[in-house]
Amino acid sequence: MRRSECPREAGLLEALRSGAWPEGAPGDLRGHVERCASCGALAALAAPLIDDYHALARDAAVPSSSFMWWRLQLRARREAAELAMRPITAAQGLALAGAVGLLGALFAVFAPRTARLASWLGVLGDGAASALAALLPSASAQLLSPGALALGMTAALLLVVVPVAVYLALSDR
Amino acid sequence: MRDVTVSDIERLDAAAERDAALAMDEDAFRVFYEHTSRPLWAYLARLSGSRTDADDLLQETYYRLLRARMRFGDDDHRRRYLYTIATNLVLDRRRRRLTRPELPMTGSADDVAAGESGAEALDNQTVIRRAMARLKRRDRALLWLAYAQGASHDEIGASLGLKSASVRSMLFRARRRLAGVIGGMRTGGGARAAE
Repeated sequence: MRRSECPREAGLLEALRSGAWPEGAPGDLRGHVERCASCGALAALAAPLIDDYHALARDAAVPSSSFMWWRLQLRARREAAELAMRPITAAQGLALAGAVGLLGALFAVFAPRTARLASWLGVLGDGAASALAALLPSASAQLLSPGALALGMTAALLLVVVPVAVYLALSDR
Repeated sequence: MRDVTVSDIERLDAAAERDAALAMDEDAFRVFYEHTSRPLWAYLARLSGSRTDADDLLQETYYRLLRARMRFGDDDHRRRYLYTIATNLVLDRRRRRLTRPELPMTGSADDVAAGESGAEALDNQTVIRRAMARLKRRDRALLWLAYAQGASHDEIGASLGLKSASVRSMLFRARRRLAGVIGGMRTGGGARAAE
């Protein structure tokens, strides 16, 4: 495609944008535009574009500069606060994940014993009152071994501490 | 031993304050905004084809400018960057809508051009609005910046991410396409040139 841009287009555009076109434009420019196809086409396209621009810019309902500044500052502060909160949120997530993991481990440790206890309780449910007295002390002794007791206490403590920590982290000063 | 104990919350507040800092002070921003907001809004409206989108994107454009980690030599440089942001935002929004066709296109239709009814006389300005709405957004941006806003080829290149040397030929082709669309509209055709 061959380009055929006229060197006088710049002058024509300037006249169009300044509002001098056509009456206030130099006579030789007007004469040139009448003869030059490229400049004639440009004037036909650019003049309504420029009018459209002025109409749009005039009617634009843009917020005032002070209101825009206030909104931008508000948004910047909100996003910065969210950014600063990210480590806390991550810590909360880690704490909760740790708690869930620990509870899972505790369950794995205690599961066989609880199954045994359930079977014992089933026996109790049959009304064997005499078996209760014989079985319960030995079951308690198994559950209350030093290791199991420590794990149980840790789990109980965690169940109390995690909600309190989450509350303190999320509450306002 | 420290006299003042800074709590974690206070440290967070200080960090937030630092991160919330904008790249201009209020007075400078207000002067810059007064000079640029209306032309920018007009550009956004014409490029996106939607006044609603222009309203939304105006604030986003200034926000990104003020959060940019850039040093601007002068207001011209800052203004070029403002238009780069604006162009990218319009194109991004368009791409998002294309990749999520299930979303309604409310406000994204070319409502700036569609404001005029078919029964209305097709004056030059109406014709040019409708024709612009049928061009590719890149062509719209080129024509608008060059002719409506009087930007130089260097400024257009910087704003649209194009080489200045390419702007001249791209502008010329965009002009031909616009003339073609207008010709089609005048003869009753008006095939859509883009999208």
